[in-house]
Amino acid sequence: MTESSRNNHPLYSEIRSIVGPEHVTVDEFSRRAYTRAPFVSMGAGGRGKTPGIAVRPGSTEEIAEIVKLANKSRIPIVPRGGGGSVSPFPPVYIGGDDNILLDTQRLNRINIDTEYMTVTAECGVILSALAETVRKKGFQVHTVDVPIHMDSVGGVLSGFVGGGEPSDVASSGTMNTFLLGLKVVLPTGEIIQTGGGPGTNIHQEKFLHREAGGPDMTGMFIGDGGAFGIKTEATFNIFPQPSIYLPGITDMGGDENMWKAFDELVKTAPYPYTRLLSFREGNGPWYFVHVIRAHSQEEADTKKKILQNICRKNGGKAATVGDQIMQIAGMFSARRLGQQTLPVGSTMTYFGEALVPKPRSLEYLKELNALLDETVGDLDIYKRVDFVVPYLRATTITGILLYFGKGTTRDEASQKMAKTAVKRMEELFTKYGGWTETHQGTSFAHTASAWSPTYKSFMQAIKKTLDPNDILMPGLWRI
Amino acid sequence: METKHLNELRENIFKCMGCGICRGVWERKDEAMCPVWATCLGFEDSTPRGRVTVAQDILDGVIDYSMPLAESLYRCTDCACCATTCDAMDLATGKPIVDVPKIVVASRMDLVENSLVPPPVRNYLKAVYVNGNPYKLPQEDRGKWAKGTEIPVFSGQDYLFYVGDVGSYDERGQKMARSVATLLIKLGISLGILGSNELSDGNDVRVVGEFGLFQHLAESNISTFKDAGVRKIISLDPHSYNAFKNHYPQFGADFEVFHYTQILDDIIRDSKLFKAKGNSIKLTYHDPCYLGRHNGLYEPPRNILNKIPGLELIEMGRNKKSAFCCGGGGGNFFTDMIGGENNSPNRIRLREALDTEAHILAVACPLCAKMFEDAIKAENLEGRLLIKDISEIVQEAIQG
Repeated sequence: MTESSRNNHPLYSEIRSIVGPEHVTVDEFSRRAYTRAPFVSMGAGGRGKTPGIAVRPGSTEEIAEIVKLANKSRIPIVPRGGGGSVSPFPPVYIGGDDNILLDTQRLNRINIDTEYMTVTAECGVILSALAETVRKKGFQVHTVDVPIHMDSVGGVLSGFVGGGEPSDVASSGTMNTFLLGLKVVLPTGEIIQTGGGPGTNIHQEKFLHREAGGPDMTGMFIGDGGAFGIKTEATFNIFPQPSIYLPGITDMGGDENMWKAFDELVKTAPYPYTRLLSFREGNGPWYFVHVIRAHSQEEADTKKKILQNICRKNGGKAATVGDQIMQIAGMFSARRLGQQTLPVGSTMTYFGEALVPKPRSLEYLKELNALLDETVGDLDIYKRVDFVVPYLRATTITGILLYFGKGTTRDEASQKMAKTAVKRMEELFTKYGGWTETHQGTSFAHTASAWSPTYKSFMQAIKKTLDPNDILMPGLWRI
Repeated sequence: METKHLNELRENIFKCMGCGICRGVWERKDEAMCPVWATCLGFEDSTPRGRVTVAQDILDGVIDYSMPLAESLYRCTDCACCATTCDAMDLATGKPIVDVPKIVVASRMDLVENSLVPPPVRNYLKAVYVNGNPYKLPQEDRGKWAKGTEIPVFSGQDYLFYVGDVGSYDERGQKMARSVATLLIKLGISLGILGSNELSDGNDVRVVGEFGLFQHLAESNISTFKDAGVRKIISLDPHSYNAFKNHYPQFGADFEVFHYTQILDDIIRDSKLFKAKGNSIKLTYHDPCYLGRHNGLYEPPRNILNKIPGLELIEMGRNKKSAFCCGGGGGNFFTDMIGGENNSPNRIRLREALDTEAHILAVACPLCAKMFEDAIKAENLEGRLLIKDISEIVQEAIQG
């Protein structure tokens, strides 16, 4: 590409003058680098639509200026965080050839208020950086556990449950639970602040709570896929860092014992665990991996006793193959997927999960397994891990992790199988009344397909009011 | 356009799953590690994952090499963070399956063959080609750093002390070279230098993709070493160490290669050189990428520092294989393609060192020393933190 052909985007000059020349590119190699989705779902080999221009704004105000420009020209904008979308297709599949991709990487400032116990992070901050910065001050912030090193604050809050699966999702809920307010650039370019703090209340200087004496407008931007506004800043509660970390593994045997114990644990108040993950490899026994985090040994011991009693009563016994089990548990980290799969030559993996009603979790899992056997069985599934994680009391995050012995993301037949499997999996969890926590991808359309006519009209009206020119993530919900 | 070198890595390039963990660090759960990613100096194509994506596109014929792409590729500092962080290892060899630094070097080799080299890199290579060093200084000045000392010219001693370009020509590097050589001699090591017969080791020439020039330098050095009867080499500079250890054997080199901290570690381990001191001085240590991640030498420098009474070694949050690059690797010491100004890697790293409340930032690489001294000036921190090479610290400890 020659220098002269680099200036051919309709808004190139204007955007350059807003963000500075070094923060805008129309180079093809650079734009195409944004089209790739990570490996986590099988369809990862596919590429998304190439944006017409990629921009790295450095402030909320710069974003607002760009949005205003885009409105004048009716050119779609796709905000992008850490590029860790675990949905099969990256966000830029939406819109036209002149798409503006907003890379929020430079929005990376973090401010901790130890007096009011809050942290305000710009939305390009990667979650691990947020967690570590807060930890260094002796506090804890609830962030997504996996993929903590890929996802940005803005990307995660734009996903369905507004915060994916924090480490402590079983007992604390998602990041959304601890969100106090957002700074958002609306599709027309206005900047608004939500939540109970400065920017919403003229007398309030600090964030105290989420409520602002009116409707919860923060919630409106959670799980919106970036279609209602571009999040640029988020404020969360922080908590004193628990000093006790008590992990354990219990062998729960077959379906019946596991489920009885799981159900009882989830109904116990207060929760006798901080984290709880139930999994099994192949047709092996179910294991609970449980973690208790506490501020005193006494608190930890009390919870441990309750947890152990419930497990034992239902046939559970302390696992004796701890190292091996921990290794299996480690598979849930994104990096382990690559470590396990690449050496055997396959670049195909599957990590599918969905939020489904708790009572139907095992039924969903069974159906999902059958579906995957049918659609991707030819890819030589050599390892299969089922898992069920409670999301507070009524819902579970249920899914499957598959390692394949063959098939690559370059191979058309594998790709076709993968895409079919992902599509059918999305249809399946939609049928169960669930959704995936994944961000921005095709699952948005599947979930929206289950909206009631009234709700769909309501959403259409909001979108039209906020974004009359359909600038932000047009077509996200296919409504 | 020529894609021969990239094509040799085709199979591995297409195994990348694109998770993006290569941009950050796992164990420390800290902020991003790739210097380009951490300093926000590039678009996605400048991150390790993006570089693989671009490589895939080139091999697919979707895009071609270009000057803007070359500028992006030359921002990489070859710090190898990405290769360390990606845990998709070949279980048989223990090496990363998707070796991004290797992919970057292969791309740069293609760029050189396609004459698509950005001016700062071209100037660097031209200087080495014409003058034998990037400073454009005469070859006969190469040994001037040792003038006035008792450091002998190599004539069959146990070790050749190889200094390298920075140690030979840069004022800070020269100071370090004198310190290391005089210390080792004081401690009874038999060594000599090549003086004006020393040639550039070519490590950074190789990393920027000029393999022909690197081969010439390597073969010339090997020939000089062999003619002089060299069997063991002590290198001042981890960059030289990396070249000798990992890339010279393909041209027939069979010398034993050491970094000076390995030799010092051996000598000091059982010695009673140091006298106990009352006051404790806080110190932190920066791992050079070519000593640490590229060659796994994390302990010798620490062993030395821990042996010195009165010093308290405080680790920076990111250390050893998680250490953050100073920004001087991959040719960037000479080309500064990475740039960064207020948020350049050396300034970020300096701030990390300051966070430890140490009084001294210990280094074991002349390039790192220079990078951090520049950062101190840029941050107006003169007097707050001293940059000292390990040999300089040992010298002071011995002298009391």
